[in-house]
Amino acid sequence: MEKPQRMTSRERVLAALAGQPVDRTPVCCPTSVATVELMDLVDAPFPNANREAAPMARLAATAHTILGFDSVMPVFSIIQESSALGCKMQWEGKDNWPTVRMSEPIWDKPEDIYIPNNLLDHPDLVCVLDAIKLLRQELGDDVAIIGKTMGPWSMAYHCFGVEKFLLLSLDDPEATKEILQKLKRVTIDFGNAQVEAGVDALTLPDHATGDLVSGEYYERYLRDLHTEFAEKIHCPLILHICGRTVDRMGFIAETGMAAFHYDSKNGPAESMATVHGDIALVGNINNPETLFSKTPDDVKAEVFANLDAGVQMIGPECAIPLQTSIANLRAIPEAVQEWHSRH
Amino acid sequence: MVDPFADLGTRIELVSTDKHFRDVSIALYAREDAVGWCFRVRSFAGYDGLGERIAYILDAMMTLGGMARGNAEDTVRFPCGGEHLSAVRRLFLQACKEKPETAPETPVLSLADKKSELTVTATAKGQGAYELSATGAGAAQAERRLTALRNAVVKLADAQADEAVGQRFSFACGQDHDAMVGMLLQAAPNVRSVMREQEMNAAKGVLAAPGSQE
Repeated sequence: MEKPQRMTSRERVLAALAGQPVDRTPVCCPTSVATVELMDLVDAPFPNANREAAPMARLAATAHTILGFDSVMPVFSIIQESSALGCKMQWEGKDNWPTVRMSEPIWDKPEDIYIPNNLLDHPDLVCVLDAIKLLRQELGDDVAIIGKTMGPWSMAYHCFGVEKFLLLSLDDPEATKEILQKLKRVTIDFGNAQVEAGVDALTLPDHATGDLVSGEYYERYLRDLHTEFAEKIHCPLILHICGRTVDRMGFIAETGMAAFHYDSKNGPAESMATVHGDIALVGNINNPETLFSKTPDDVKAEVFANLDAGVQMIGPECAIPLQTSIANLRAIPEAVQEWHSRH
Repeated sequence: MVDPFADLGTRIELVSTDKHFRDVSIALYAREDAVGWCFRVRSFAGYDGLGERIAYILDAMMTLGGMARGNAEDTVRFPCGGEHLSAVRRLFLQACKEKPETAPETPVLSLADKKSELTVTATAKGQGAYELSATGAGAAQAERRLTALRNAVVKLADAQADEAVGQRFSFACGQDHDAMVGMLLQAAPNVRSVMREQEMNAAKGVLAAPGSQE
């Protein structure tokens, strides 16, 4: 297929998600690129920017207006749904992430699960939907807006506690599947609500991470569920799982999701070889070492490695540390431009 | 639109929430020009009074570290023009911690060392060299303690330890830095907690996957 002449940021991201040609590789972070300096610049500090639509939208927009990314993503945290479900929250201050108090789980067994019919009216979900609408008003059709809907495995960690849920998955597969089946409604409903609000794509984090869960587990518990999400949520989906995940990338590529947001623990070339072009890849730029504490040249080297391997979208591997420097984040789009000027 | 992040240099330190001024983030940027290394204190918040807060921090860095005003209003530099990276980061963090209602004082070159119950003094030997000595009961047996404190100052200041004399250290720039040595000497007995604090600050704000959270 012929390379398009000139695309908007939104066109570029959507084309990459659809496996179509692009004028240049899009820079896209399916998770957060919020930093404390950006919070100050637009007066949108945490925790307000996690709980109120206007600061949430202002902070998200900086990914494009200040950093030069092709996409914006207003759902910085991974706890909005869990808060709405009643989990005990620690909202933290400006310089730390909100977390669920998983040591105080709200449910003990599948029968305890209660999802209110008006879940989408919860303020911590409404603010996301309103922020998406604000971003669409402000950015128009030029920039890709990515939302986020959490997968049931992640929500089960939050609601049952990590250790308890993992032990249950060993001892009682049927109960585990029952939990996932019940929680999937939240993923689908919140995802489609964001589609209605105006997102172009959704990140779907489901933390069957490489350090805790095997590839076989992914196939047993999540592959079919993720296939169902790809069918029932009405926009391209970007699955996010941290850690070493090459052992499950083949299964992930079978789900029909548009992209997989992958960790730096996986090499770009081996990952591309594993998914055989059946799903796009995005991410891989290391957060805790490279983006957080190395130089722009180090960041660029990782971007080049991804571009050389043919990775379809370039971005950080996960939500970036809140103290990351702007120079290192800007090095990502700069490197993409440099690479394309040579190829 | 003016790019607020243009031409700042390299960010070398960050206070992500300033406890003395509305939890704003304040950063220290470094860049080398014709005169030498220059350090800029910058925050991107838009609050009234922020300029005064930045001015206080700059003044504190000059007082605590013997720095001089740079070419621009929001910059400082060492008289030697050197970078002294570890030391200037420490200076910046200390300046941000100082209580704004009090004026910082130029640090003295002596320390009441609680561990040894001695008074430890740093004496400038010229050309950027310093030597630690002790007075008080048992000062004659203080060699190991002085070496430990010397090593702590070396670590905090990126200075050079004298291989032959355990109480001596020097700066590569070959110039004296009395105020900076005085400040770092006060921190030397607690060097481990100082380093731990820096590591904890660095780890803050990193999102862990749910399986890695407590």
